[in-house]
Amino acid sequence: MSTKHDQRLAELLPSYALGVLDGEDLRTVDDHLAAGCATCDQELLALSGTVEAMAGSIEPVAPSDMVRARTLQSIEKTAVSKASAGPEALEPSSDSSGEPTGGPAAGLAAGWRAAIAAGLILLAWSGWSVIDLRREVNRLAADREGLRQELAAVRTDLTATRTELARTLLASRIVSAPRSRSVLLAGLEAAPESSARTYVDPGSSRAVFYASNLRPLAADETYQLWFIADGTPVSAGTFAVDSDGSASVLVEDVATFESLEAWAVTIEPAGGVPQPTGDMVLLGSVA
Amino acid sequence: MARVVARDSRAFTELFDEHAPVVLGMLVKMLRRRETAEEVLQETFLQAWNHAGKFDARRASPRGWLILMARSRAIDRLRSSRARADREERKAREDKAVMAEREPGADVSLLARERDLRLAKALDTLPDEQRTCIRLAFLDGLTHTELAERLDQPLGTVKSRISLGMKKLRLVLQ
Ligand SMILES: [Zn+2]
Repeated sequence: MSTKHDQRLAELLPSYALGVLDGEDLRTVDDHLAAGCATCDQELLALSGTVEAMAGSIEPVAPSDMVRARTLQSIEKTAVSKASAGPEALEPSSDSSGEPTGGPAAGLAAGWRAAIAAGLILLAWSGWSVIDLRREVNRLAADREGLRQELAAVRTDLTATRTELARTLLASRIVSAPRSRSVLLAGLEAAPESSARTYVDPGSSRAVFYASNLRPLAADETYQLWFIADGTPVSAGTFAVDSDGSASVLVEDVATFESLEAWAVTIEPAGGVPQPTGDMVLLGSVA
Repeated sequence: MARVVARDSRAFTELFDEHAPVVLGMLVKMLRRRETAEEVLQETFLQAWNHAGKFDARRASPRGWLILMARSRAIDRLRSSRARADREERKAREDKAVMAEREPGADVSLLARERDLRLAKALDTLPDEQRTCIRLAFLDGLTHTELAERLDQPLGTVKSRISLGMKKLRLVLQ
């Protein structure tokens, strides 16, 4: 293993620069360079420039954002502050920089299937401990759960808003329908301050009821709206009042206008009843 | 590079952004599959980070150093995938490939189709046997031994063809 510079050695340098030297020739050049040879260094610098020019005359390909992010992230943990974390010891091809030998990198090739797996291996190499990784995974899982719950809440809000909007639109259509008729309900002795109005649209057989100045009820009680048609009270639904004492009810399948006689509100046990039993607080006759 | 040696991640980012497209362009040509090329690109830059201290400005520019590391890794992969390939099928394909290489202008048309006219023109200035050798070494990553086998030439002939071809390319590409 001579380290003397000669013509035979110089002839190997172009292939060395291309990375295609192998076998005994590769070892010869490596040993010679390791011993130090200014002539070869200079020659290699020029040859490396030629290989660079060859590579440079190929159409460049911009790396995908993903591979860029993964590469930059993989070194971040060993940057400045963690310089002593020892990635050298973990890097599997620690002694193969530059040499085209079939080192551990070739053996690892099989393990490099999924891109995500590759990212994890790199993170591990670059000084991330398994605990760091597990903590990161847990943190991401918690983030995801938080986002999932937030999304569910937003969806619920959105559904409520949509329902409310639909109700409002429907109510306004009922009120503004061409043949719509309104009935005023007056507060009775139990609720003298309150009043209400019902709009009936015979075209859609729907009605909308608005009340104001009703007092809030106990949890075991409810207001129940009725229409009286052909002498019989029919439930139009139960309702609660808002903090300002107002309420509204959308009624489907109202009796025909001709048979409608009156609208009334009673206080009933929570959940409502089939026929009125409690105190009547509002009453309005169809004129 | 000194800042990369000092583990400055911003310097590394600059190194990546400046050189990765050229390195990846070459890797895609060598490995044919972008996914594999990007894996090798990532391995190469990680190696550069972990072994920045081995960079020797007397022998290469930072880009030249990165290209050599990328080539070594790509050649390892090409060799192990060639080793996996079915021998019979490989033999048949290689015979065809060698025939194609021997047709004048074959590399030029291949490269021209890939829009790398500068490299094609530079290679075109070489005698056929040198061009074939360099093309197989540079783009297909065939080592000396593999070249001698495939071209059915003595190792010494392969060495001198590459050496002569590279000398001429150096002048042409300067
Ligand atoms: Zn020397």
